[in-house]
Amino acid sequence: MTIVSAATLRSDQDLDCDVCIIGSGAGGAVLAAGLVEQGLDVIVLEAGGYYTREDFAGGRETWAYEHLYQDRGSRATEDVAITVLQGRSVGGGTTINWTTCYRTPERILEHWRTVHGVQGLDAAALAPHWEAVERRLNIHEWPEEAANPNNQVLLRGGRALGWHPHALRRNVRGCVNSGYCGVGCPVDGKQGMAVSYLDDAVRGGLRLFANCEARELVWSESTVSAVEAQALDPETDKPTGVRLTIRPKVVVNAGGAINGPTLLLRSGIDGGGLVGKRTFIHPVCGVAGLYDDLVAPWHGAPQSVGCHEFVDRGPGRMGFFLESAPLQPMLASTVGFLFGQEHASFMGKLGHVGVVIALGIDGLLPEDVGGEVILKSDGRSWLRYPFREPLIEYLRASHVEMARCQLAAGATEVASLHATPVSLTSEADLDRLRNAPYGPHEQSMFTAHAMGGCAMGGAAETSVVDSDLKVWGFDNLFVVDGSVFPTSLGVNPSLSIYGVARRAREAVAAAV
Amino acid sequence: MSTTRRRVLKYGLGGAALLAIPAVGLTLRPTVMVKPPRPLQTFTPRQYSTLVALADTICPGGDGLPPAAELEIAIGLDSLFARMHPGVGSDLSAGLDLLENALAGALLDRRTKTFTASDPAARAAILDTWRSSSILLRRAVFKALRGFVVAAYWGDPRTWSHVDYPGQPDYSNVPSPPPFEAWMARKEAEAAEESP
Repeated sequence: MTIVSAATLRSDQDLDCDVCIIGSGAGGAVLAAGLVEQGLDVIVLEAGGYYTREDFAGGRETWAYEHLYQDRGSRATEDVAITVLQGRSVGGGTTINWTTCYRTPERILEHWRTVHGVQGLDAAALAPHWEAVERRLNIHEWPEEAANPNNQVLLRGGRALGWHPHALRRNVRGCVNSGYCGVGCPVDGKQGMAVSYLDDAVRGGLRLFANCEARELVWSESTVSAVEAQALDPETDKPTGVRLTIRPKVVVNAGGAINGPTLLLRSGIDGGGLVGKRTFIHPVCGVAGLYDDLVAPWHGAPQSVGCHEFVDRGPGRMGFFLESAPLQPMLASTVGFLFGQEHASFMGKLGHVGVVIALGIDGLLPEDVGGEVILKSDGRSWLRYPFREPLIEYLRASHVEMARCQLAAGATEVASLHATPVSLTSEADLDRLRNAPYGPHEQSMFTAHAMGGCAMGGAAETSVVDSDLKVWGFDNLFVVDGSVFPTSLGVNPSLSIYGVARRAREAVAAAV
Repeated sequence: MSTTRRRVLKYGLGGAALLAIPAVGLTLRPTVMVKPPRPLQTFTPRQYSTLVALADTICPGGDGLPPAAELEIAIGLDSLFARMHPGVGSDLSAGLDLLENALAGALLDRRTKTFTASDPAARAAILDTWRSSSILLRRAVFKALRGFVVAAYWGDPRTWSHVDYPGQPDYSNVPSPPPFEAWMARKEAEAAEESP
């Protein structure tokens, strides 16, 4: 058995198995490998296609965003104010993420236990799972001296300001520092799911159908009896007409935030109105700096330096952390609001631009309920993410700190990514940023960390899944992906997802 | 009030249609049509022509850069949207209709020409208005359309020399890492050898 594109099937399929996992990303893949290792018969359904390093060669952004991202790279919040980058291929987000790996901070786990009633999830309980994953994916610190000039901006500027920027850990083996993690690794150096856990699981007997979209969970009372899915044409994404009916003993929804809750809502499972609620995104904004020296922000490990100076900003304020982002031409061009000659001029300087990004830690303030996944009548689902006051305050504060960092790093000019950019050449100009407008469509924003929507917690009245990730009220339905996080994390989420997925294999196997 | 794509349709096109009743003359201002190089899959000829004008305003070229028309950005996007959920094409079609609509332009911007009939400087002024408009619907349409246009344009290798972007080096001769088990066994053996 290998990975099969459902588009190649010529007739409807009716298949039995022990566990059907919907989604092959960070959650689904690690869980699948763990279940196959226990001898279970597992089927994984993945709506995206299966692609390898040969497909990624050349680093073609136009191809990559169309084939490896949700909505062909155009996913956004309902008001289009925030771009939502999410993976969609075998391996899910791990095929296109920027490889940054953090363990879940203990302060977040403690918040989940004390505020949301999560049980048994602390650093000690997760440690063996993290250790196993770190070994398999070769997660290790990327040395400071290997940081590219774009990441050196945060390192140099942060230290000049007395902050404590640090080297990041990455899941790579044989990395050639190409900088193309976001469009598919051209050398298999990134240890995404397709070349690690899924590879292990397929060799152990996993049946994986790519280009296969789960449309509905068939259920009654407390049991899911089948997963109805359809084959998709890999180029047009339109149904081929072939249907797959999977009849598993246990179903695991691992479609990720937004898509995972969407499947539940489409199936009439709303968790007492909680499915889709509490969706968090680490809302990202950025500030650009212009440097005399070449930065070449398209080359080198995309993220290798982080700074957590501002994760705890006191009561009533949203914390944030700082990182860098790669700037290949297509992705870079979409940032900001410039057009015409102004935009061409900016793009002409791209090689000398360094960027610092801030990621807001949403969901920790009592009043911060985040966004909501909305199921539309035309079959699409959108994320509604309101701009509340803590978000506005975070945007203003983080812009000032990012600009200070750029200036301290030696930028000759600093520019915000506002609709009307704010330009600075010294700290004396910072008031312009403090007084600039902040809100929807005022400044460029994106997210690459959609989380929540099927929050885990201590009671059915306040959460969608229990601490073992089983959906309240169901005997054989689990959610195993980043959508179970009851808040955002304050760190990049991949290792947190790997950890809870590996832990979940015991509960899922026990339910078979 | 949040700005939703549905409201773009409801209040944008719907409102414009109502207001058009006493001002048929303005709504009938002609679109300057551009013939597509291939059959259209998503847009009407009028919407396609608006997209061509929009793309050439956002990416006009010059100083060695090709204009958007030379890279066939509009027809490429028409093809892309045909490979997406039909709702995406519908939303963007509505946005293009709003942009081209002379009546809405007259009411909100005091312009009497359609977008396609405006000269390049006037088109840029219109987009500038939409970029910073107090009407969030316009900002949303601007952001969505701009994003698709610039992505298609700067994703084209023919624009990269302007950025001094070399493209991805050839990594075809770089071998993939060895299988995990073999690699780990070797690593552990080496560690054992090094330990006293």
